[in-house]
Amino acid sequence: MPVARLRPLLLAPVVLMALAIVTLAKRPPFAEAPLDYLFDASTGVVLVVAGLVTWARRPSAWTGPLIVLAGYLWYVGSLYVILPDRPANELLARLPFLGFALRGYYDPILAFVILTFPGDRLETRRDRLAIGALLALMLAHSAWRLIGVRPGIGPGNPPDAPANPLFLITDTGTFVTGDEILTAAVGAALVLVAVVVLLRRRRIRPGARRATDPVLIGGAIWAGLAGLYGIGAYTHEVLRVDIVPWEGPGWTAQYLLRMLGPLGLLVGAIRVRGSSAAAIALMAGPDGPPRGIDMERTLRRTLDDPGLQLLQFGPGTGWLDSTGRASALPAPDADRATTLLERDGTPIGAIVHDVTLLDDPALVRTVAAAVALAMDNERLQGDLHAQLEEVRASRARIVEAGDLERRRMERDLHDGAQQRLVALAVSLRTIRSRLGPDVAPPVISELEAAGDLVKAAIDEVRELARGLDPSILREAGLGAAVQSLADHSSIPVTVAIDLHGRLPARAETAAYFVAAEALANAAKHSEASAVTVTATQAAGLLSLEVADDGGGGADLEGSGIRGLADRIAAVGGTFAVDSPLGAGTRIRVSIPCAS
Amino acid sequence: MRVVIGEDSLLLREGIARLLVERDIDVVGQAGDLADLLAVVDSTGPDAVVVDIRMPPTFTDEGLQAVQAIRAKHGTAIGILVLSQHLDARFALGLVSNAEGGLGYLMKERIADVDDFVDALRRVARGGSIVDPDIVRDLLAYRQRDVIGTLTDREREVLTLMAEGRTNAAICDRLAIGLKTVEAHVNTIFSKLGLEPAPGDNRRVLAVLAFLRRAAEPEPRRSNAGQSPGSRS
Repeated sequence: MPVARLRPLLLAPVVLMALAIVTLAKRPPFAEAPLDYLFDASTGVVLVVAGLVTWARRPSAWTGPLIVLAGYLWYVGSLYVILPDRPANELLARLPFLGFALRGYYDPILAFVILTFPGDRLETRRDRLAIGALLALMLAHSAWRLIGVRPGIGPGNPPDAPANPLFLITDTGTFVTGDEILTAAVGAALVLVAVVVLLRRRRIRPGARRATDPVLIGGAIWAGLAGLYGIGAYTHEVLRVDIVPWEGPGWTAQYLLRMLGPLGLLVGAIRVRGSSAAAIALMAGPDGPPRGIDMERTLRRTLDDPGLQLLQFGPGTGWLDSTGRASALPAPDADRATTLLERDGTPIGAIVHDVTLLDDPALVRTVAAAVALAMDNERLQGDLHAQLEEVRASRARIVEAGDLERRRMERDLHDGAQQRLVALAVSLRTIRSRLGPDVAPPVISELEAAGDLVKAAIDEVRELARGLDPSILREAGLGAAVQSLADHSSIPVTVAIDLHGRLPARAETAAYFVAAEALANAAKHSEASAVTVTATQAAGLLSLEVADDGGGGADLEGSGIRGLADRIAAVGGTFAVDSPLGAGTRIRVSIPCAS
Repeated sequence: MRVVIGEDSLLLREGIARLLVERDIDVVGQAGDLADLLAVVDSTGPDAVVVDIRMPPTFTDEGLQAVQAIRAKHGTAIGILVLSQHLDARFALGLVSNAEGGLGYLMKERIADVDDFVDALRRVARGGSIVDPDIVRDLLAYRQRDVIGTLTDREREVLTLMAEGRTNAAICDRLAIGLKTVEAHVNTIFSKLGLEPAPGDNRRVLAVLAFLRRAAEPEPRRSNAGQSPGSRS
């Protein structure tokens, strides 16, 4: 996680604060102008904090680290104050000189950050020119000082400091003149930066300046003041004209005003639209990614764009808005931009958002990827759900077809075989009555035996038909049908059925066949002495239990029990068999029966 | 006696007609579906109708529709014997015990027991109520645990014959016991079952059938104690 990676850096402000305090304590004129030095020393701290906040909110952008770097660079010019007066180490002894030559590089860095915030790319050629000019002049100024500073020149650089090995400009007057000109040039470049910063602000639509205004206005003041003081130093030294105050309240005020730069960055970092971290958090709600209209609401909040629209695209449906209504992809205009969401190269949706969001392409990319992933996930889940529904429906159709077939067979048996058998019985009677009194007794008894066989056949066919499709179930309901099963069972069956009237036919049929199969198994295999059938109905669920006190160990993979499980699954119910060896068999089913 | 037969199986219809004719019963009409049957009954005005419970056009309960239509038009003047292939006690009792008499419910194969069949037909024509002996036996055999279990074997025999629709005289005949003994058994049965003594053979049969019908209902719902009011959907 980006934030975790930053944790060690959170110590930085503390270190800096210590540094700042030391700076304050050691500067000789501190007691004379404590506020000046307080603002001076805390500016770097504010920069580092602003940088860390920006870094945490946009881990993928350079903005945060650059601001942190600028915060550290703030102290380069005053590092010498932490040194002892006469350091023994040569390098340390040269630190004040190096600081004097290399000070001020926070300015081009901050200029870059301000001109790109909240992204990390310069937008116009003018911006690039201004930054380039500033950097070039600063490098020239540093070079001039590196080759022109001798011991005794610059703050904390005593005349007895080690000699400058790069020393080239032997004429102090030449060096000072050049230094003054370069200082003024750098100042002019900074004023130019302030101007392009303000020009950049004008490019931003007034309604979309919430996050950028603190950065740009603060930044323009920062750069402008720095620039004016650079030019002011020249006019002060060379022309003896003061265009800026060098002491008193004006001097203190310029410190305060310059603080607006770092503070503006801090406020902007907090206000900036969304962040990659927030975009990732957005996909990880308590119940997974938000869906549909919730996703749109979350995006609006996260990206601070109340007009944002999330559209979905499907090959069959076209563009749909978040409420599912058909929509069209709006043409981009001056205010709204469209970011397509794609999966494997095909569009699955689009975010229509404020055009200023494009200032931060990394954020747009991250959000688009996260939303596309979530939408794709939602679509896959929908597909899976539809497939499961299809499987369930097809299983229900199979069971229904089976039931229809049973009913047809039952009718065929009744209207075909059984009718013929009855007719045959009647025929046998007719034959017997027509034979008259002279027939030999063996013939009579043979006829009677044939009549008995036919009756037995009729009974068997009736039982067969009843097993195929119990008419009592359709006519009188589950309670009567199970009671009838119990009445015909060879083991005593206790029936306790507590139902509220008739249930949907699918539920009744499923429950009936469970009871029938369970009772038949109990009679055939269990050696049970008693069976209990209970059925209750609560909260739209029919619960049926058949329990015997037999030997248990039912064959759970047998076709009978598997068939029951399939039948119950087809009506969306649950099926459980508990049949430990020696402890009876208990079959429990729950079937949805809300009508 | 003049009889109309409603049965869609030609084979069986002819067989029944032949049996009845042999017993000197006048088969005045035959029909293979509901509409035809009602037309034949209206035009011939028979003493009794034999009707299959399942007939065209839907093969479900045309026999019962015929009962209702004939009752509506002719009252109890025509006895009706419903033939069924289902051993459905509850259903049979529901049909017969609700009527004013003159209705019977027989299993189809009973036709082959010609004496019983013809006897039942004659009794229905006279206004009696008939339930198939198999159904009565079924009911009594599986209802040992309730009040019927308190009856003696002989009392149960008498009850069975009563339920089939037999008169006291017929019961004497069947069981080879005296009329006084039968009457004593009948009184005991009525008091054990908690029934009001009912004068007249058919009223008595109906009382017994109504009792059996109640006994054949599924167990009554138990109380809702312990269930929260909202738990029923």
